[in-house]
Amino acid sequence: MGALQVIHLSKHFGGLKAIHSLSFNVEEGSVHALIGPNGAGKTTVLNCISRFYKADEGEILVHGKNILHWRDYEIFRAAVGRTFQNLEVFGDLTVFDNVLTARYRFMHASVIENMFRLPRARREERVNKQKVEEILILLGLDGVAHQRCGGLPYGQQRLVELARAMALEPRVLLLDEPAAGHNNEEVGQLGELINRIRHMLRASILLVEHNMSLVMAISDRITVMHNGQFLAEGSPREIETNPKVIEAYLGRGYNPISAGA
Amino acid sequence: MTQMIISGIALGTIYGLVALGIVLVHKATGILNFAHGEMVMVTTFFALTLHNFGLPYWAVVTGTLAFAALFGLFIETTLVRRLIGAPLLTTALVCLGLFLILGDVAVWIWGKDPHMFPSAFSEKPISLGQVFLSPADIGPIIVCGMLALGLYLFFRFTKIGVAMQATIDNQTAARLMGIPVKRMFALSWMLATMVAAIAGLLIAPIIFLHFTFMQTILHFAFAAAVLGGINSLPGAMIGGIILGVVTNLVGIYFSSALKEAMPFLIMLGILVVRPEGLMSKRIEKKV
Amino acid sequence: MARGNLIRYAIIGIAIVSAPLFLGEYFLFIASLTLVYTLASFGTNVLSGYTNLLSLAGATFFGCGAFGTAILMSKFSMPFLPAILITGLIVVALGLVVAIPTLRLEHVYLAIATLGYVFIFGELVKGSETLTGGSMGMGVPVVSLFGFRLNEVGLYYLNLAFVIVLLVAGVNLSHSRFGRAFFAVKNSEVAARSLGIPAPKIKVIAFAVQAFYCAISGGLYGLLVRFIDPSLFSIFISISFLSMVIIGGLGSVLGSILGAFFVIVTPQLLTYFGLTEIQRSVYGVAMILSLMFLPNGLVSLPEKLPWLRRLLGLSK
Repeated sequence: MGALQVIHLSKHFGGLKAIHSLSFNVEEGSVHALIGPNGAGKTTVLNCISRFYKADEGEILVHGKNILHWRDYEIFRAAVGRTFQNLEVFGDLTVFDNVLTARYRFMHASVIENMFRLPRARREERVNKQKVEEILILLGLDGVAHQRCGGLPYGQQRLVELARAMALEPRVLLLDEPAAGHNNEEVGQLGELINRIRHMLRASILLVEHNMSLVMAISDRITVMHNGQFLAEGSPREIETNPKVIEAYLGRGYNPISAGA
Repeated sequence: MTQMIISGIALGTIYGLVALGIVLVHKATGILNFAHGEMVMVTTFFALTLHNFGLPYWAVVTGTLAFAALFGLFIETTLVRRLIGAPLLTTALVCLGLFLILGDVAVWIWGKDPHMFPSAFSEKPISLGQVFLSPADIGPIIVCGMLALGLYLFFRFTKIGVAMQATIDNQTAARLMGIPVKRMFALSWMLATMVAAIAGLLIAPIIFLHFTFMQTILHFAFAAAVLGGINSLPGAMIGGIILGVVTNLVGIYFSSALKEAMPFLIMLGILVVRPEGLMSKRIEKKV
Repeated sequence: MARGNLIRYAIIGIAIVSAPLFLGEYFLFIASLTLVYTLASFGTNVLSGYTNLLSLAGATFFGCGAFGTAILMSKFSMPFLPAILITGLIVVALGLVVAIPTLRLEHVYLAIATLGYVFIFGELVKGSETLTGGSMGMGVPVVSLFGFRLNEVGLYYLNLAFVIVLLVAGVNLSHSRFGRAFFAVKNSEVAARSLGIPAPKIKVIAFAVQAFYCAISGGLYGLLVRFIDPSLFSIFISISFLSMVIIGGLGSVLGSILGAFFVIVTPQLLTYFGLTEIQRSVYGVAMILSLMFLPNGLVSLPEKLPWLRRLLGLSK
């Protein structure tokens, strides 16, 4: 049983079939990449999993539980985290506050307790602020912790989004094009970071990505989508050399870069 | 009962007309004009002034329409232009501010007393078999019907109308096609104010003209707009008619207190069950 | 805290506390009224400023707070403190009734939906003559605390006490996970939900906070003016709460206070100059000017005017 199972997922918008009967399985503790040309439906898949869209058909299981009837925020309370393609950080808040906001689900003091700063509320604030510090140090953001997020360079804002997703202590992490906006060197660091996160949180990761060097470097398995449908699945090596994938997406001029090439 | 239904329809078309103005502005500029009722009020008072000068009815109507166009243009240039694209809280509050200002302006110019307003139609009932109808009952229906038809033709077949429709549907595309979008906004406000003026001319004979007379009607108009779909022009009219008929029937068969609460209840009901109204399309947010 | 600031705050604090000593009866009344409205202003700020929910139902909570407290005190002979607190809780329940059907609505629709509540409750109050005096209104008894009847000075300190306690509580709330959740929902509901924040529940809490603060404000208002009638249930009052927030500053405690002050003082000034009739349009103009030129309210003036900053001794 995998960490995340997508079974015969279908979603259409009006007459347009965005996803058609897609299935794949993210093994526990692995990095599973979802790749394909633009418009293949990859982000739609993420949105269905996060329940921002209602899937029309199929099942989605997170650690064996069917989440198709859950509210979106309930999913994120159950230790799923995600980042977005279009940055959705809180620009007017500091980096620290952005990440601290994500600790909401770990705090249980009521409104009244918080209004009068009763002991439980104070303790929870202290403990969670500590946690945020740790995460920021891990991602190298502690230097800009108290700066306004909107004023930071794009790449750093993406890191803040990652930090926020991590603050949820997710067991399943959905990453939507995390490499966008990073140069080659940064992408390398990002790959290492993702691996470290994976080990720290013992998380399983679903990675939607266009940057092939990142995909090939860290993925355990890859599913390829085309026109909303399943095209191929396999190890990085298998996908790189799959003629259908090369035809539809990678292109004839593509040079295989995965291990064993 | 037929009597009630027909007068309900008459009333409903008037609500629909006011709602039409609101929807027109919302579709064109994304702004929900809470001050629309007050704009109706001001144009109607202007009409009263023209009437008091002794002008014949047709001159009053033309004069008022001209005033309405200019008034709409004035508001658009001074306020609305800056508001396009601003967050909802801002636009709503500016409109509410306008609501306050227009109220005081009206009192300053025309005072606080209620006034009678002449009707375009005679009150004498004509018998049509079982039912007694007066031109005053049917008149509004005919006027609104013609207006609705006129607007439909305008948006469909005239060059300006098509351009306006295009701007409403897709601002960016319209701009790229060389349509002067800002001028379209101005035109839609002018049109909406003129529609408002006509609504006022139809309403004022029924209730006394008074600086607060539009406040409850605005409530009905919003309910009609929401019922029909805040982005649908025909929806506004249909919503109004449904609201008019239902309200009248409820007033007869249940209680008149419930009748007062109808717009509110219908609004809540629709917003909970189908927020986009009867005629609008469902919109899913894209992330 | 820097020494200069400490002295400044101490002076302000002493001035506020000793106000009855040097303010005449009329000005003391104005000061009390400002305190009372500050509560409504802050509550509305939490809903509309922090969480960005546009609601026109504020007057409903205010009016119910005023009538509820007055009724419990006069018809049920309840002492003041329990009366106002119980009313507060009842109005919170009312706030939930207002909020829950409107949860899934987009901004526009929320504003329209809340438009009607004020009418409905106004009619209800007018209709319940035996309880509320109907359209004629009802008198509010003089409040006694620990056996002492409170005069204007006593009322001033009572209001001050409520404001201090509730504003401190409010500030604490805005720095807690709830405050962060309010901001999150306002900035990007999608992002907030992706962090596990239950957006509907947060919105309900924001409504409940506004309901409570407006109710207490209404209750204290009744005590101050000694006579209340259904005219409290007016859209204009809801709009004036919003205008306090806009003019003072969205999402700021000081803003709530400044906004309340402006909204109280203006009609008084206008009456002094014999211009009472244009009161509503002055609010309207002030709101519009604020929105166009000072969107962050009066609180942001020092930022924009260096000379003011120096005058107030605020460092950059």
